[in-house]
Amino acid sequence: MANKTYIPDIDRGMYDIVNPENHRFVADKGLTEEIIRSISQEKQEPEWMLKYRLKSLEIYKSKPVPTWGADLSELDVENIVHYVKPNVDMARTWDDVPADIKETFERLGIPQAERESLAGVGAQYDSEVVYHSMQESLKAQGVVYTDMDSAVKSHESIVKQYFMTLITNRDHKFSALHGAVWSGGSFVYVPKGVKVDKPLQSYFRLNAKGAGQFEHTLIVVEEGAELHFIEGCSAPKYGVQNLHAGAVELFVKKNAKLRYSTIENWSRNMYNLNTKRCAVDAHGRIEWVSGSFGSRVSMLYPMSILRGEYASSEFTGITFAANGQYLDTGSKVVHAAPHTSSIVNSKSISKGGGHAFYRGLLRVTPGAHHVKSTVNCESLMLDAQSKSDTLPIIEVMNEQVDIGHEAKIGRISDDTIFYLMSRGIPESEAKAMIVRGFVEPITKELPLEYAVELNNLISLELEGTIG
Amino acid sequence: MNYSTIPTEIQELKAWSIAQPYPEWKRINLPSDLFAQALETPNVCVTGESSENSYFPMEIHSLEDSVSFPLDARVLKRLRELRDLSIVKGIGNKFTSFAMTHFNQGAMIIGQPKQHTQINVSHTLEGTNLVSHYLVYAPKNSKMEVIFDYREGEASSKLYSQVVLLAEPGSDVKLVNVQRLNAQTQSFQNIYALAEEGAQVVIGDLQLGSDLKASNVYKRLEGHRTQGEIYTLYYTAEKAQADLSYTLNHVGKKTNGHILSKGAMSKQSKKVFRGNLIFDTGATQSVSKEEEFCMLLADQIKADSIPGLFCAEDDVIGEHAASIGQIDEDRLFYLQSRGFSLTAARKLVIRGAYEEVLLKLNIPELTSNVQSTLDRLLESGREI
Repeated sequence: MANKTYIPDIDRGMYDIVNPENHRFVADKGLTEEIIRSISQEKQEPEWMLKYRLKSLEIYKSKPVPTWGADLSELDVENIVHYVKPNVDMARTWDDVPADIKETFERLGIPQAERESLAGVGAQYDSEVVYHSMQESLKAQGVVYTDMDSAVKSHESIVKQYFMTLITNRDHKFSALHGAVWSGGSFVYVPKGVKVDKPLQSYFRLNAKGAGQFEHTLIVVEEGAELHFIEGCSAPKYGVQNLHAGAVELFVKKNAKLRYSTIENWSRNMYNLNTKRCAVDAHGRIEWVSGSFGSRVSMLYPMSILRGEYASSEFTGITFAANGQYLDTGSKVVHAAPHTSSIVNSKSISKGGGHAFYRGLLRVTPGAHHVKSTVNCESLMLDAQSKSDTLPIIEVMNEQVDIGHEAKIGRISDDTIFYLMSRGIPESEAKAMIVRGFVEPITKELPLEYAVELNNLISLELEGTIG
Repeated sequence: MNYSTIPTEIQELKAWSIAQPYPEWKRINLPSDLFAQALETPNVCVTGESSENSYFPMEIHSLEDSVSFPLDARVLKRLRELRDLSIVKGIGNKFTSFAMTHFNQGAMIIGQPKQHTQINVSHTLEGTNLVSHYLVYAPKNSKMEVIFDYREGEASSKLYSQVVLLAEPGSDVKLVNVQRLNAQTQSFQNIYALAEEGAQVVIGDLQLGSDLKASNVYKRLEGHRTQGEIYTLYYTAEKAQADLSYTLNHVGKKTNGHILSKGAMSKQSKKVFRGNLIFDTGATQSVSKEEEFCMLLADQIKADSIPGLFCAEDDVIGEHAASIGQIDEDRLFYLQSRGFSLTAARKLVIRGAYEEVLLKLNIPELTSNVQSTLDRLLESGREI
């Protein structure tokens, strides 16, 4: 019988450290008009935002829970606290952040990353942003990077123009929920022609037990501009449910480029029902880099709408589903203009009873001629307790296209291991090489600290579950 | 009557079938008069060297009474299982149960151990509604070649067909369904195949006619070391709609499978193609692949492809691929440079694409019949 190689679960040590809860305001559990009004009042929002929240609540209550994909029957939204305001004002320097919160982000490596390689950082703790900063040189060029709650007031006209126009409160039940209770998140505006050399990063940390996080990220990259935005998230594990129903709306204008990198490492009690969409104009480009490692249940399908000629999209993602996890992830691309192109590379590893499900949509609208698209999915299963499924949907309404899709499921080949061993490489190292090679197309796209973390967790022993 | 569970007794099943809700399909539009009763006796011709000893017209109520010799109890049990709608779902319980309980053409087709059985069942629809139900039983170590051919007549008709195949250990079965009905005829077809240990089963599904067609082939590779192939080709033109679904379910160890589909779409036609590879836990060392190639010949088509890969076993290899696009321009240019018109060049390329499927099925008479049908389609005003 072939020996198997053990791949341990991700080391969650630092992610599971809990701070004592110290809140300035905590909404009641559940969803009522009174709760929505109290959130809006706490934020001192314009009237139009309150009206939108209330309308969203009405829509949320009318929509059913989706019956496809993950089993959401145990999710009890009425038992979630939808707004938790930490007892801290937003700071511009880390020295002004309370010690326990600062220490949390220090452990996560955020301040260090900011010092070494980032142009700006936003740190959200529970429902509010507690730290925000950006290099002065970018401010001088007109780049705006601030928390979303401030942007609603300070940049009201831009926010109102774009807010929840790509992801509306009518799309599905959890976008409606988001519209009603959203809080925190980042607003980024990059003016015409400005190329932001270093990444901006936002990190979302949910500390409160039984709470939800509903951050809203809105990014506008104007004509000819470029930006790399990194998003990270984590939460400690509790015995009760947590819910994440955030929204990310991205607007890439003509000839602009945006790379959006995410490492999701929510705890195993989290329901991660996030919605991400990007609209790309002529000759614009969006690059998604996505790593999904955490949460109990994820339903996440970053979507690109290529609405201008020669717009392009690239999605690179990895999903790691371990024991007790159902990760239903994928990518959606809509080619809505001629000469658009897209590439999707998705990899998954499932082990110990985990279930990884790739679900994708590739749609070509009637007027979108000369479209090129390729989708490549690979799944590595490490034992027979796990499951791996692939269900791409391709909808083509124009003949002048060139569409290719391929997917493969399997385990590490004994022949490949034998070949490497015949070249003098020990078996354990051979297996490690193969797994590193499997995930390499994704790790090389990740920010350095996340790539290191990913490689660390994929450490191999000689006895285990890869055969 | 409580219809929360599917009844197994035939009279109850008949009533259950009528009571089932009308299907609502997301991707193709079904008309409201689908389930007309089949009243007339259809025109069916059965040929083949072995037809006298292998073809037994079927009684609705009793499998045992359909044949002149006793059937093994185990075989009867398995055949009855294959009439259980909780197992044989097909294109939907409404269609499957209707074909099982209202058929006006049915038969058991039984092979002989260590013998080669070859049967052609040819149906010509002339304004009649044909509801056919066939049970094909391949005993151990038998070899069978069965062709179900549904040809066009002049008038509009409806076809509902259900074929269930049991391939016992060591059997070698080739079962081909050819649908070349006229455009006005609506066609709903279902094939369910169960392969036991060491069986080799090849199923061909050639969907050339009908402007409203649905076809489902589900093959369960239950025994160890079974081999299952599904080869299909389809053609849609004008405002045709097609819903095609092909599934290989690997259950036993060391099973091999292959789904290959070639299709061409023209004018304003629509189709959805579903190709599913399913690996159950325990199907160790199984290998399967699925390929779909769809040629698009007009800009108002709607081509949906949903290649699914579902895996609950790590020690397998599963692959799928889908390719959708126009005919390669270089290839057309080459043919035109040799004197072919653009239309003739496209026809030649389509015929060439279909050739691979026909070669896999390896039935020369079938190949020539299908090619001539295709030529007629392409030249009759439904051309590309």
